[in-house]
Amino acid sequence: MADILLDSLSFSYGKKKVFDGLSLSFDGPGLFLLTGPSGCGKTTLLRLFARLEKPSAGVLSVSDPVAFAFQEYRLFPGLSALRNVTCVRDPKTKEETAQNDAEALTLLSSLGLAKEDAMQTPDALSGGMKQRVSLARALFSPHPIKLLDEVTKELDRTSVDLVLAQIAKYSADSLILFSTPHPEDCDGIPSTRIELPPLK
Amino acid sequence: MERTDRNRKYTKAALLTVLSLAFWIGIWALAAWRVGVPFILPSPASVFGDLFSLFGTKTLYQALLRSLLSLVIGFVSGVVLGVFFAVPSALLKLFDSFVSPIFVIIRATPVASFIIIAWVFLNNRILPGFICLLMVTPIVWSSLVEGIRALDPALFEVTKVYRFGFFKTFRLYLFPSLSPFLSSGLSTALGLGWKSVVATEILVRTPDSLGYMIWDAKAWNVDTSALFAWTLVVILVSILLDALILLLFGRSGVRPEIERRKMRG
Repeated sequence: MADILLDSLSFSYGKKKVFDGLSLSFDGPGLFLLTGPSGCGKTTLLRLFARLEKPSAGVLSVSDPVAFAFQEYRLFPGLSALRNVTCVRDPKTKEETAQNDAEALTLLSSLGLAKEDAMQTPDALSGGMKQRVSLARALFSPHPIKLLDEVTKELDRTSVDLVLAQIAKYSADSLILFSTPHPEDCDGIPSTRIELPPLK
Repeated sequence: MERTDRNRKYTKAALLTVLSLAFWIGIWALAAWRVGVPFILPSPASVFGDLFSLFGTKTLYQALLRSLLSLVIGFVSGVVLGVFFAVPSALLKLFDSFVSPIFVIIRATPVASFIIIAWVFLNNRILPGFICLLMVTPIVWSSLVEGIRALDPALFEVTKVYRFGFFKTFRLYLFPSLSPFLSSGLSTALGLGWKSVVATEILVRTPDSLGYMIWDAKAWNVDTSALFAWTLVVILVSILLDALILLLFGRSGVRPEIERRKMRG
């Protein structure tokens, strides 16, 4: 069975139908690009996969726990950027904690965040930095399915390249679903495009 | 560099406090000298003298112990009751509409009325703790209800997606989000609870308590200086309790700073 399977799935926000009999399947590892015009339901689909929304009809099966990089970052305000990333793992020993810290710092650095930035709380970071911390948290999570919601939205070209390189790297071991209105950014990366139809 | 700046700031603040205290004590000394009747207004020297001699007596520690025991019992049970009612109150409208009028009435009723009414049913040793509970519960309830209603549902979704357990959710999300509300509520409740304990002890003459000593100094011994000294003890305890709350809740934002220093080191 596929890692994520949708069969005749329907979903509405009140009276507004977002999906009507949608059938899709995703098998990992690999990178899937969810594309489509703004407002076509990309975020809603990811929220359904994360069980943050319930389908009104049809079948939805997700084989493993998911990690989610939200569009609006959603970082814990009292924690440093580093702790926001490492909080998704549960180290048992001091050695594991130290190893996690080192690994998270490397990941943040490969996303363009210096060690000093990693020690700051979210209120001291720019929007683009927060977005990369949120992405790092999802990539760092042990959950094998990673849902990335427009994580390059607020980034400049250099940062987009850094982010895409990491997404490509992690897609070798995980199933990554990346919603983006600019799939052409990922032209150099092996990926599968899923075009969502516009809302009727 | 940062530490030097902070030290300088603390030193300046401490110096200002000392200067302001010295100024008001000076005014007090001047007023006492002008009045010239220690029975009406004792001088600071006589009051501080009495206070220091109190520190050497067993009576002070006995009275402190009794009053603090009433406070701890009343405060802890008030907090437990406040939390117990706040959670369903914040989440269920129907429950809230049943409970909130009771707390509004309790908050609006003068503490002296409660003391007199409850004195009919309870003896003067239990009463201070009970009155403290009555004062603390509505404050903790209302600040926690406000805090729970202000919780960010977007962050709750993060804890759900990453499957945080209860303790991790509490540590990373609930406690930091609720602590500003809790700390202000607990600080107000502790101050009011302490004052209501002493007020009750004065009114119902709880034996061996701080309130009793204040009443005793005024009514039996007509010793205004001792009355001031006992009152100063109550104020000192109040300041210490405030510092305790600050120590428990005033640490938000410290952790990242510690981490920054560790990583630099």
